[in-house]
Amino acid sequence: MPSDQWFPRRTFLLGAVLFGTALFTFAAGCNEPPADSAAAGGAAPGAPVTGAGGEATFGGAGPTTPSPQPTAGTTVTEETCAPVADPGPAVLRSLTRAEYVKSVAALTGVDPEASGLLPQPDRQITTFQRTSENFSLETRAVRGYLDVAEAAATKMFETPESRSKYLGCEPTLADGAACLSQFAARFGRQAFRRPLDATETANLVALAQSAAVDVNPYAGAALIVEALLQSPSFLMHVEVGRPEAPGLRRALTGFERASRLSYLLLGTTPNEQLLAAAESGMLDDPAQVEQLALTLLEDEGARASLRPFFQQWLGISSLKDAAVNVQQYPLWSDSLRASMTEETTRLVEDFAWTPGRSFADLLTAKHSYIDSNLAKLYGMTPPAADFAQVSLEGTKRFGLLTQASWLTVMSGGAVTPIRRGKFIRSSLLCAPPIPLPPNVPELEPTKPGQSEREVLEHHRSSPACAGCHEYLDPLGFGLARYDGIGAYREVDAQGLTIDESGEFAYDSNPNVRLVPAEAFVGPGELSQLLTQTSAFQACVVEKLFEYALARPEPNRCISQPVKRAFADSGYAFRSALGALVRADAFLYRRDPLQEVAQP
Amino acid sequence: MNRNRLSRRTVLRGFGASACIGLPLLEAMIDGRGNWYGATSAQAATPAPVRFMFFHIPNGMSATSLEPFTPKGTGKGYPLSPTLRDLTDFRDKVNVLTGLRHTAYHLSPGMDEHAKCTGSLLTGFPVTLETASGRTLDHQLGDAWAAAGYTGKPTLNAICDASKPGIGADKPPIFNSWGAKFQRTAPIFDPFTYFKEIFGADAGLTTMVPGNTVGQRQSSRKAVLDFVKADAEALKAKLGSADRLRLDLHLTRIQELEQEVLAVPNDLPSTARTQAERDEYEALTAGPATNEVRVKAMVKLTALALQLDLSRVAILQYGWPFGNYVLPAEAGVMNKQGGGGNGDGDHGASHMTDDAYLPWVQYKVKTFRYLLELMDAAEEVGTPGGTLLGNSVTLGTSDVGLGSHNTERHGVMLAGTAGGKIATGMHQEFADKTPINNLMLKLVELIAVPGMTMPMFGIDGTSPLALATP
Repeated sequence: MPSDQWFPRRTFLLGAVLFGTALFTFAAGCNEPPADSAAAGGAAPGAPVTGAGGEATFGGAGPTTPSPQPTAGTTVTEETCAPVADPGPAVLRSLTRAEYVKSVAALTGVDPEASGLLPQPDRQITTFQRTSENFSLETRAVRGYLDVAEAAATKMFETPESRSKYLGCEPTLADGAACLSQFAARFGRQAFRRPLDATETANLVALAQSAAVDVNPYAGAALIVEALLQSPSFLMHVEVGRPEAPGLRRALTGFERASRLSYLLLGTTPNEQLLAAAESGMLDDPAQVEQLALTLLEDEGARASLRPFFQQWLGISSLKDAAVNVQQYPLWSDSLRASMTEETTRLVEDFAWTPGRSFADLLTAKHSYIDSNLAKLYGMTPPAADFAQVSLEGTKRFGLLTQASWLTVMSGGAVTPIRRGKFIRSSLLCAPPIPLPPNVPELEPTKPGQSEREVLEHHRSSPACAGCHEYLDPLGFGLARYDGIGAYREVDAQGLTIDESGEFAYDSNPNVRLVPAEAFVGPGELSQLLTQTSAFQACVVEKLFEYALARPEPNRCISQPVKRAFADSGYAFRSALGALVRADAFLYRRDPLQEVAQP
Repeated sequence: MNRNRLSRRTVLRGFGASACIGLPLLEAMIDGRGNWYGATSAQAATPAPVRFMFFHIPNGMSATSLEPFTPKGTGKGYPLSPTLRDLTDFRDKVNVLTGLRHTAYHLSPGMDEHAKCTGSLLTGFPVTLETASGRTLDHQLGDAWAAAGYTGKPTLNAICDASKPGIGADKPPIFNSWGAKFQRTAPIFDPFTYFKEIFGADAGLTTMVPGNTVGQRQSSRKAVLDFVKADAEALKAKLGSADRLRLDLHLTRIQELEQEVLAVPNDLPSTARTQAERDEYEALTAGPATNEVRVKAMVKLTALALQLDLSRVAILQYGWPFGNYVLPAEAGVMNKQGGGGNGDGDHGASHMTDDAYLPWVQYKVKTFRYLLELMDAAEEVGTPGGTLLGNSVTLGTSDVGLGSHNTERHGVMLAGTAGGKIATGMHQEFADKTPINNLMLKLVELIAVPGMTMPMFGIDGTSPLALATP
């Protein structure tokens, strides 16, 4: 396996930077970002170099030519990408817990969640659950799969009705073997998401015939279910593909494409429609894959299945764990927490799914969906009905950036501007700062008469800290008038008027400044700037890629055709999804046999 | 080994009852254990194994300096420091070790502090972004016991806090137990699952296929798993080598499961565990570490597993490193005080001042003391250590030395005499920056699993720490 398989691109970058400047990395305090020296002409080996189009590219050696500095506010994300032949790897991963639960329920009618037999929920440790620890096959989990498989197998053949639904024939009669064989082939095709081969079917029949049926005549059929539901071909996303002429990539089979589509758009095992589409060969044609995806998206269910994408991307899935001091924020309640999630979900889905909307306008939206809880928090008139659309004209609210949900998640005492700035850079611009170096000193406590901003400005006056924080803090300052739960205020805890002016210095690489910083005041202007650079729009596609392929992109250029299609459509979210599912990265994989194991 | 194995049902009932009404559960169990060593001449000849217990106190033993932790005075009878206040009469059973440095952490570049500290503490090696660098001490010990013929669970790994790991996007997993590359062991956080892990849970499952006897069930399970293994083998042929490695891990899991399935004794009662018994546990399974009953249940189960020799190696964490878990009301901390940008729970508090963080650590030390109490109450008659605690090395320390992520000076509590091999009740101050890996190396020497040799631990554990002898 090439080492890039698991790593986000920036990890490479970081590794290279640390390697190139190892002497500096143990210095205390915030490191001076080493690649600043690269911008000055002394590139470290493997450090990013600036491409002609003004976008950092990642290509190891090569002369560092200072690029023409684009003026602020211009588009800086036009990638200088050659077409990428490598579709990227397909890492073997197990179904997430949610995927497993929905798949078992679809196949057997038994809800494993209700059975209480699964040990514990998946833990989300990356942005997206789909990419989190995707190989959690511990003994306990495997034991849970056994328990669930046995419970489901029992239930499926318990009553005459359930037997006729799932089995449809009598294994006890003279042609019992044929009955079992039919069942194994039919249920196996659903469980493995592909037709079984003759050996597999024969093995299942032999397994069924080994069962003791003197008391329970359906024990054999039950064993077929148990075996299929515990097999890696069910528990894992198996994407082997078939070889292509050049031998470097493999086309995923129609069935594998059907599974990708199904788990992406429906969150569950492919239904009969998708399996039939695979069987007919239509998914061999990228245009038809896209067409099928767009058809699926017409369904309300598909949109609900994609909700975790938006919620995890914007961090609001962690709102449920947010600890808020009710003494400090008396308006806080669990009901407000739920309202916040609902508002953001509705707004994002509005821009994603309402025909004619540009998803890029999410940041500058002039409307939102609030209820009485939020009306109180925002100081607005409650709408007639909860979560009816309300206009934001004349209010202190400007699109996504002023929504209480993420503002609450990204709050925390004096360093709120840092956290919010970091969120904007990491989640909305896909340009996260490098990880915190060791032994970073604590912020000095606020002195009497000193504003929170002054504390942060003081810390940025240290050159070591400024390297990263000049890209973070000034973004967060623009939101300083929104408190720990997103209520608007004009003075801070010290009674000082809050300065909401900031600076936006976009660069796609945390260490190289490409654009002179542009000043702005408040979230309205900040949202405009973020949208104008189209860095946000490109980032939406990158996040969508990470979610859809359950891997960080090894090469930013892989998603370039989708970014272009997204832009060409006027940022219609559906078009991004459509372009994604017909992209090579979605339909092909790197040839697994070309991959070399790590030592 | 089954002779000392109390019936699951008895333990379950005893445990459930005691958890609910506070009965001294362990006394009821001591007979089962106390007779184990020395009851017959054959057993008397068997020395008590030295158990390894690691109680992990996440986020540092103090916030910015080790001052509140470090006793003012060394040697026997050291004065209790503010952090160690609640050890009181247990002081003489606990060594305090200072001057140790967690070196490997410094060599793990560019990733989350807590992740690399947690991952490197028990491996002794720097952590890469991908995974801990190797197998952790718990696994090495567990495997060595297994190689020496021990048939219990090689390792246990649990956590009192049921909330999710306090790590944000794009951070590598914070786990302190790694069986191998890719193979992190996530701690169990709910008492019911933990119970099943320790005692097994087959009794409830044998009735699921009506009419089948246990024996039939066993053989059909084996046949099912044979099919599953064949599927995995067939897949392997089609995959790249990295994926084959992952599939191999799955196969290993299936084989373990098979062992477990086949080990079900045929005389198990065929009745399922009753709903009432389950209900008792459900009361314990909800909620985060604020639920004191849950925390105590996890501590009790861990002590019980060691006492009944169902495992000889255990890790129990109070909460997740980097985690913003909160504490039970009795801890007397302001659970929702703002910890700067670091959140409103333990991790946030660990980034405040020493004074502000002190009560948080004190409460966790108090929980450690509770573990010591249980282990000390478990008599092991006729053994050198005299009790489970005596026949153990019980480590209480943190991933990071300090909440400010400084690991130059690590504060360590070490209880148990390893079967009389070391003295306790001492504050030993080692030369500044003595590798903490030397302590780990010493622990391996003390535990002395038959056949296990370890010339060096991690990157710099070259000479076993000179712990005071009796």
